[in-house]
Amino acid sequence: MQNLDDLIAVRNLKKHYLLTKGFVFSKIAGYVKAVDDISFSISSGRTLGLVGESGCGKSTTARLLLGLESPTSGKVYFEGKNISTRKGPELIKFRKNIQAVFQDPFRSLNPRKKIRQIIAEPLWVHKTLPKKKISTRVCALLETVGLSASHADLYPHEFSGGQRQRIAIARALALNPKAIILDEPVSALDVSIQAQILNLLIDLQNQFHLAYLIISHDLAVIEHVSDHIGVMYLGKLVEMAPRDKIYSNPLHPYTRALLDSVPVADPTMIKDVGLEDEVPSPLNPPTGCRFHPRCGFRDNECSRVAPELVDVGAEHYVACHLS
Amino acid sequence: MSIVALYFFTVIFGPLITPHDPFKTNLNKALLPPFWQSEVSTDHLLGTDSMGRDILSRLIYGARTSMIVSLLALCICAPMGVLFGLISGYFGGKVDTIIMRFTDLWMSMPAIITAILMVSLLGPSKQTVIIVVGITGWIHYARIIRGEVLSYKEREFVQLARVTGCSNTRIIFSHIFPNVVNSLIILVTLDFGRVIIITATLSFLGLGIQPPSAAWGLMLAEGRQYITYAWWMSAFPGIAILFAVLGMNMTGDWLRDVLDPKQKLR
Repeated sequence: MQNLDDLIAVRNLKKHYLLTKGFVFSKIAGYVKAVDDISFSISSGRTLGLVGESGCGKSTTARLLLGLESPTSGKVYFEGKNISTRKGPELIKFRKNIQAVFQDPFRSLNPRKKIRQIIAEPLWVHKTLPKKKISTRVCALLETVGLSASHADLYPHEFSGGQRQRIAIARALALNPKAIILDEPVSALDVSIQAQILNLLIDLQNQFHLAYLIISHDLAVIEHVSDHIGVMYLGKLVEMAPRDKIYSNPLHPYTRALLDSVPVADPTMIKDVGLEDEVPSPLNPPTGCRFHPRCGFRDNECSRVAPELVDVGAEHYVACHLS
Repeated sequence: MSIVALYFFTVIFGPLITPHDPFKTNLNKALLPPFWQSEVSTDHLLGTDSMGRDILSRLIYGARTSMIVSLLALCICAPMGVLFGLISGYFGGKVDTIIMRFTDLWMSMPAIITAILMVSLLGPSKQTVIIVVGITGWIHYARIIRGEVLSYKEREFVQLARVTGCSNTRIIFSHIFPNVVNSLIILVTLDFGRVIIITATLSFLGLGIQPPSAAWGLMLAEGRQYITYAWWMSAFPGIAILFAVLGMNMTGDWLRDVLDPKQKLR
């Protein structure tokens, strides 16, 4: 696929959670394949969007990249070096490079700390700045994200959701990271605020040459910010392509169903989305193509053989027997 | 609240407001009834005990004793429980299992039995009571703090602290601990009542504070044999214990309402 020289390259990443039964002599009852063999790359200054229904492994992928979970197998390369096996001080040192912004701005800021302390904490921990300069840096960061320095001595509960998300972004920027993982960065916000935050993120990307991995279930959000888009289904990437390709020429039936499910402001229109049932349990995923029980185009092969992610030209990859 | 305020007032200004020397015996004045029953004198407001000592003064000094013992005991059990609770909740896994099974084991024995056993091993004295009450009390703290930590551990701000590269120690003390302080304050207040009762029980059984010190439990015990004709000797210490515990519990409930971050922050 893409080469390993990209800022972040993920190869055959797997995360399986072990389920055990029994109390004393526990037996292995099965695996939840939260992330099952996915590969992608992100280069500096670019954005990869991951979309999918809840439970498809988007957030687990983010946690794996952040080193909050260790992968069952597979590798994560950062600037060509494998980082998935790092531990201890090495891991802490590396963490400067990838920061994160999470979904719920009401839970992602410690309610007992002032904004100044929240934003300055990464600087204290990594000692990248002399103590005297931290305060000016905090003010500069606040202004970068569109708040004012006078906000530094307030507590998180004195801010609105959008402002809090700006604070979370300021904190993520504090260490001058090379990449930021955005896990549903706007889905907890009002639609009017969403656009502001997304535009702020785009501005910051241009300013600091950041790489983003943005995770969302909202196709409009993903379309607005991403350069490449990956569609996930039950722990697998089913389609990955440059943004325009996904929207103009979706090849995987699941991608099409997702795009069709976006509501249109036309009350007279009745849509046939063509997706039935729930997502099957990742504990016991369907054989063959994981999407086949819900797919309108399935044939015999789909239930037996799992399709590989293949290149159909121009950086467009799809995992479907029919395309 | 006012009960607790009164309690603290008597503890701090005790020596200034006592009408008589609580340790001065005067057998001529032994077993005087409280003032409204007394024809002789109204000098001793709540009467005197078998040795002629003033009950009110002894109650006030007893408040000091119970306060000092309780506070010191809490100083042992609260930090201990909080530390184990934080470790157990944050690290989980085997450490958690070991600590929690130990607390289960400990809880399966009545605290007072354990306390009596330990006192008989160490010999009765004020220090022993403090140590014993302290050591038997940390279990509750550990369990409740552990539960709180479990819920905060999965919060985004703790996850973000890990992403930032904070050490475990830093996360525990700088991010999680400030968030459990509220519960801790409430716990300590509520536990105060329990500690007063245990201390009084031990003293009553002769395993705690030793005569001639003034302690509520001890006074109860001294009054026991005179209960039929000098009810005031045991009734007033009993009432004092009752109100002190009640006051502490009510303060705890009040603090819980006042400090609840959900009411304040959201």
